[in-house]
Amino acid sequence: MAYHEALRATRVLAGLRLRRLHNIMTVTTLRRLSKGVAKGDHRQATPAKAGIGWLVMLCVAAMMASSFGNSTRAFLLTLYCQGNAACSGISSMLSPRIAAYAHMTPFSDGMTRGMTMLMSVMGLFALLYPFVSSMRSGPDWGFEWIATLPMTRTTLLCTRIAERALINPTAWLAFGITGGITAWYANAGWLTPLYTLLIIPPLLLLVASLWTVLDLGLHVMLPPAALRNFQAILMLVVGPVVYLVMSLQSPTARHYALMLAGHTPQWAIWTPPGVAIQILSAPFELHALSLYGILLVEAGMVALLSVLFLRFQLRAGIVTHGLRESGRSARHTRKSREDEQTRERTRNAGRVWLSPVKRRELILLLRDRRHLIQCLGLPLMMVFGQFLLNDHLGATVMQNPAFTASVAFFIGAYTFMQTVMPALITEGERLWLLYTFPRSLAGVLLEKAQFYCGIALIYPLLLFAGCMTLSHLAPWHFAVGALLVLLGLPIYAVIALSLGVLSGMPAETGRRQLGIRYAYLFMALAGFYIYALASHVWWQQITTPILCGALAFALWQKASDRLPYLLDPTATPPSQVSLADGLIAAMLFFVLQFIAGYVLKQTVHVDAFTRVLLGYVCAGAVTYLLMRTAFWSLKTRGIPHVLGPQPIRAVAYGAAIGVLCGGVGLLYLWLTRRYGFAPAIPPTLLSPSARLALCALTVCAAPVFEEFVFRGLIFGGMRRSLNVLLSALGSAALFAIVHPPFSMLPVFALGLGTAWVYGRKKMLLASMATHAVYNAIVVGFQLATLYT
Amino acid sequence: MIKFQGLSKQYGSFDAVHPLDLQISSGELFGFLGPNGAGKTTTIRMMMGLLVPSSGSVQIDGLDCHADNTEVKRRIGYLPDNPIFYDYLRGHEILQFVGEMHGLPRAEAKQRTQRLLKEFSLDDASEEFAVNYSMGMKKKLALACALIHEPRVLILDEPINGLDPRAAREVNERLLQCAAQGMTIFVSTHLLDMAERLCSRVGIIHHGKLVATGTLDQIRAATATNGSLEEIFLSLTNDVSPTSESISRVA
Repeated sequence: MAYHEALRATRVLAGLRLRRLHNIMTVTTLRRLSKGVAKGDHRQATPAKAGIGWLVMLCVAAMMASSFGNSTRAFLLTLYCQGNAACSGISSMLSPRIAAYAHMTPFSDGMTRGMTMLMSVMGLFALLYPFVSSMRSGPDWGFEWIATLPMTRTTLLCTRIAERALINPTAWLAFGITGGITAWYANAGWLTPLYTLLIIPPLLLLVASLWTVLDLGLHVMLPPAALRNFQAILMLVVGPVVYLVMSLQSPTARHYALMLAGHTPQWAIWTPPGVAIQILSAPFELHALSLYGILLVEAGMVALLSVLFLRFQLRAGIVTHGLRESGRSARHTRKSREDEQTRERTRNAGRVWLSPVKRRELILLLRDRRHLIQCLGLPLMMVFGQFLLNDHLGATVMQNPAFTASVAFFIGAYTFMQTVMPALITEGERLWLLYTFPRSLAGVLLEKAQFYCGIALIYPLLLFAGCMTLSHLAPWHFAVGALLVLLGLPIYAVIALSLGVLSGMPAETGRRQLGIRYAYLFMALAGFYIYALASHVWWQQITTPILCGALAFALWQKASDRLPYLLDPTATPPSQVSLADGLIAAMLFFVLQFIAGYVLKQTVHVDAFTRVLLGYVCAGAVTYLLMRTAFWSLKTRGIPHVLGPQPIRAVAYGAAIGVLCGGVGLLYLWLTRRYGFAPAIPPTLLSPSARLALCALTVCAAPVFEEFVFRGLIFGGMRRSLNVLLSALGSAALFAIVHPPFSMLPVFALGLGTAWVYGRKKMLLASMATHAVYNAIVVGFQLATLYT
Repeated sequence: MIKFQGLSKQYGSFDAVHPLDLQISSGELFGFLGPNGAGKTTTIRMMMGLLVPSSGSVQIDGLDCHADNTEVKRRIGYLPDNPIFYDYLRGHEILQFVGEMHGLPRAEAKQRTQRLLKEFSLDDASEEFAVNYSMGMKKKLALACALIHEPRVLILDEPINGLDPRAAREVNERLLQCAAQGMTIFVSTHLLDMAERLCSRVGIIHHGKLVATGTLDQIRAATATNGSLEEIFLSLTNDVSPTSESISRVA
């Protein structure tokens, strides 16, 4: 019987889709080369994904669901209070008194219409989101293949609709939460889940029918290019829908939703979402049954009409497009070629400064509308949406330069997350083409990042231009922020690119998704920079770009080490000491110092300086041991040497440079004393044991450990990829920023000197000598002049 | 021109390619035959510098393929077995992009693009997006991409796989033309009749080992068979089961 077949087919197809969802969420790793290899299969296995990914997704989904539930509750109660004088004087919408009132009274007309609006919006979201997120310009691969099975086309369509109705987690959540809250406040009590579960299937059927019509029906009517544009436009519609939902959270923004609820016409409550709300709002009335019947009939009719429509559309076959589309019809090819050539000549004259890679990216950006909207449209919409949600935002942006800078940087960083982070993944299966070029993959990716950096600068520049002209503050207030943003965006482009490469997705599987952990990490790092933009402390604003620049450089070193061995990760040579190791060592050093200081404070009873000295020495020793152990176990190359050839001469050379740097330091001290901005020295310095501890610290301990980290690891790591001058400047800058602001300048000079010595002599002992001599001179001078 | 010196690749304990010693002189059309999974693609990837050899080396034009990767790529053109192109880019745009990335100035790249498209009769379709091409057109476009910078060595991975007879004939003729112009062509394939007709020398690889190499007559002499290449190939790449082997030993 046809019905048995149809039911069985639906069951099998739905089961298949469930299994696919399950596999996507819980992909287990096949160790790449272990068992499959024996069969001669040495191709790459499914990429390893931590089993914890589904747990993260579940947590995120739960968080989103609970926050959505909260805002729906607030919305419902606001609707209740709109027509009701009983809640005047109560400030918070979620207060239990209002909830108690709402429980007691039946749903008013306004409430019904408002919840109908919300339910319809949920339906729209459930319809558009899967359609837009799956970018296809032809029928679903599954449908083409399934259509070869021995079923009639009607059966196929019905099973397709039924399967989509059942397996649509977004829709289940969206309808479930809205309906559940409605039923709860209509006193359904313990029967709330049951009622919700009863009304969801017809609504899902409705959504699935419309989705299938959009998916299968439209692609026959529209050429693929128009279909992609249509999808791009729909993507723009999803944004405001999401914003509407998010705006339910905040009281000020809720009035947009309330406005929309007020304008919902009366006949809307007879549409399927409205009927569902009617059922849920009066669950124990007798006419709820008849309403349920109406809901079933309406959903069934829509499904029937959809099936008929699709049968009509697909009557000539599933794939009816023989056209090879190219955005222009074949008729015009010959004539337009000449026009195209003349146009290209004029265009090319201006585009000489774009390299082939950048030009290709530009063409792709302009032609792939979906990509264009993701790149330029979504950030705009996000920010615009925030303006809608928060009335005071506009004023704050104008008047607060730090805030303007933060917003501008955030837009840029978000664009990077969308475009630069997946830079390697979007090459996907076309990587073979890049491999045939006599250029390194790293260079091509950097060019892509450069291009998107340029594109991402558009919005921040516009924002700054707008603020500078419209604000009543003088334009130069915005200058510092603008400079920091202009400095920060290229740095973060490199960070995004490196994180994208390091995220470990083998590029050949063609997966378009980036590991979500790395996206979060990137946004957290962007937040760190925004923190610096928002602060008013000058040395924070200087140190953060330097730190982030160092981080970007370190990450890019790691990423470009990995790139040549992308297809052959087992052949990666053992790593060399890089800037990342230096940064890790520095961080470890400081953290350990804090810990040691704390521990010593509790246990040993000596004065502050001795404690600091002990803590310093312990932290330094532990750091050194840990780093050496790590290097030994990872077989790292390029470890800095303490000793080398001709140590006596090298130490003497280092000491000489140290005297030079000491002279610079003395000059600086004299200048500060003369012009009076030296800081006050605490009187506890006078005790002899403290002075001894200070000397021991600065002359013996500090040089040893700091040289290992800053010269050995950081300078050595940078030297691997840069010339001496830049590495020296970079390592000196990093060295300077970890010292108190007052001593940054002479310490920078010391950094340059020690880097020079280490670069020449390749011995840590020499630069240790420099550092020790400098410290001896400067600290000795300060201690000596204390008595004068 | 191409020199394999003990080239091998291991994945853990699995030998994908056993130490391979082979020499291909300039102007030769060399066929690299083998069943699926024998190690042909691995060898080609090592020649392209995509994989790092576990031991040994392969040199093209005197340059090591792994160490002097960039220089080697200037001299070789590569055709993969499944060329996938960028979406939203037309055929001629892709070809011009490839030309420019190989270092050709823009006008020169454009000229060569138009010439190659005409030669491959992709002229009319050059305005279409490359992703919409049929398999034959895609392979022809990929072959054009491999030839645009006039390389000295062509490395082809299953060039005729998936082509209809006319397209296959066109590609074969083009390859013969290139060989006549002095290009060294290294073809990996499992289509034996094409190899028989086109290649001057063949090498048969089985489970990562080169089991026969030379012209067809030399192989016939070495294996003491008189049949077609197909028979020779099947006899050389026979996977004998342990039981039957022991039986044949005892018997």
